[in-house]
Amino acid sequence: MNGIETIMILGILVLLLLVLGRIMKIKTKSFHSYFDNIQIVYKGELKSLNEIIINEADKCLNKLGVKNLKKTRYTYLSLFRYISNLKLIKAMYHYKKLLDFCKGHIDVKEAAEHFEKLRSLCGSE
Amino acid sequence: MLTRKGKIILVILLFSLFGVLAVGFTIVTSLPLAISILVLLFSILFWKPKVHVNRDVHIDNRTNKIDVELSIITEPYTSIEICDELPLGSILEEGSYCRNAITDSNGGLTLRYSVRAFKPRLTWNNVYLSICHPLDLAIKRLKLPIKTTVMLDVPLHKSIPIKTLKKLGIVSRGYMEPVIDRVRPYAIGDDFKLIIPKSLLTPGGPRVKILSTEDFTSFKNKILILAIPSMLYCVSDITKSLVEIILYNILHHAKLNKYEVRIIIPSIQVLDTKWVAIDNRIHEYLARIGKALCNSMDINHVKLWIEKLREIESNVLIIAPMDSLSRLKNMLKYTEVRGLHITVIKYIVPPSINYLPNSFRDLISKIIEEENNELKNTVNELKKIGYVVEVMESVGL
Repeated sequence: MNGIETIMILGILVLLLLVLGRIMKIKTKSFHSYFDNIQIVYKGELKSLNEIIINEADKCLNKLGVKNLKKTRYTYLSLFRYISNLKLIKAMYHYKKLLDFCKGHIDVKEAAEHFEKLRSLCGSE
Repeated sequence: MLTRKGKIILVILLFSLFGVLAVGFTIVTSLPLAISILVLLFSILFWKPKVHVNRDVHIDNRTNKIDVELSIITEPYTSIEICDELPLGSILEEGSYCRNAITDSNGGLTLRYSVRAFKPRLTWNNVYLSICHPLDLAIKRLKLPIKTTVMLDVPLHKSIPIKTLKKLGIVSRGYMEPVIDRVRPYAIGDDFKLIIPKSLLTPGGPRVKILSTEDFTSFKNKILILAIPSMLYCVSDITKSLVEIILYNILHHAKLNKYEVRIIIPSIQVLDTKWVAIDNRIHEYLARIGKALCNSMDINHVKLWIEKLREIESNVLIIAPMDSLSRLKNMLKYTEVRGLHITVIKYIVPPSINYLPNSFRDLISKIIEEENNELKNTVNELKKIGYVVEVMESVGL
């Protein structure tokens, strides 16, 4: 490689990094604004769709034996004690995806798939 | 925004480019490849479809119905999801305000629906569009500010009937024709207009009609409305619309029959209109009230007002949304006030739920069913302890 080629390759790499950066920056929120209006009165409180889903997923994980999830929600390290339970690891994966949905990172259809899988895991317990 | 497929293709393209460079192809092969890939990447990332949207409205003043037609013109055979924003003061009557479809060979797509208005002025603000890339690599979401304002002549005598108002005797008073009570011989001083023409030819001499001496003052000509605030008003346009319908009807009939109305909203900042005779500024009253409704309920004030209701000589109507009802029931249980009319606003799930995947839709339906059962129980309990309860739930009031 001569000097010109090195410069061109470096230039292309910089462009590549810029494009990758752009992709990373894009918010993949595909949850329509009109879904935000879905709010339900549940046990005397207003709940949004996200809250309802996470509430249901929490119940599901409780069934599988994960207690005090609220404390461990963002610290997956504590899940190491469940490492031998493959079903639970799968459930936690789907749960994490649902949390991603709440943050607006995944599509509602994808979230529904994870939700179904999580429920099937609970149901089979 | 890129779709999942778009992201995968993009990443593959980028890595292939990196691979080509890493293997060490000459600049003659790698540079055109790199440029063409980058052009493709940028075209996906910055793809912007051309869309032309037009909103046509057809007003039927007789029924207060407005037919809305949204015409979209874009690229042919493009997958589009379109949603119109319903204006406040209207209720969806026919069709859906969202549509997910593929454009025809001319790139056209039409969304039709009808709303019923109960306000003389309706304003549509935005149209939401979600357009798929022809290769399903990206989705573009657009919020188009297409403003349409319509003015209606809301027919005053065709307001929406509400059972509770009939029970209170508010509706039936409107446009009451004078009733002839009896007939007696003419006496000096009687109004000539009351003479029965035929009686002029009869041997007994002229006779006059005596109109019903119904003492209107004996009716309670005051209406007190206790509207319980709730967060449900803030989040559900349909709930807000329903309450506005009820209030509009009451204010309207009060105006027609020259009743005095007093609206109390026991929220954190108590709203009390005092006794007012309604003039032509009904919508100004509604605007004031609408703001106060979206608030937290002040339990002490509600208790205070329920106790005060005993002493007030007027028709009383309590309007409570579904989420405040159980707390209200607990308060009413321990008072001696009985026989009040309570209108409960049932929460109506927005039609956008139909666009959710099945599993989420089923979950919401299950919760709604549970809540409705609880609402039924609360209503039954209230009826048992002596209240007249009406549940408002559908658009076809």
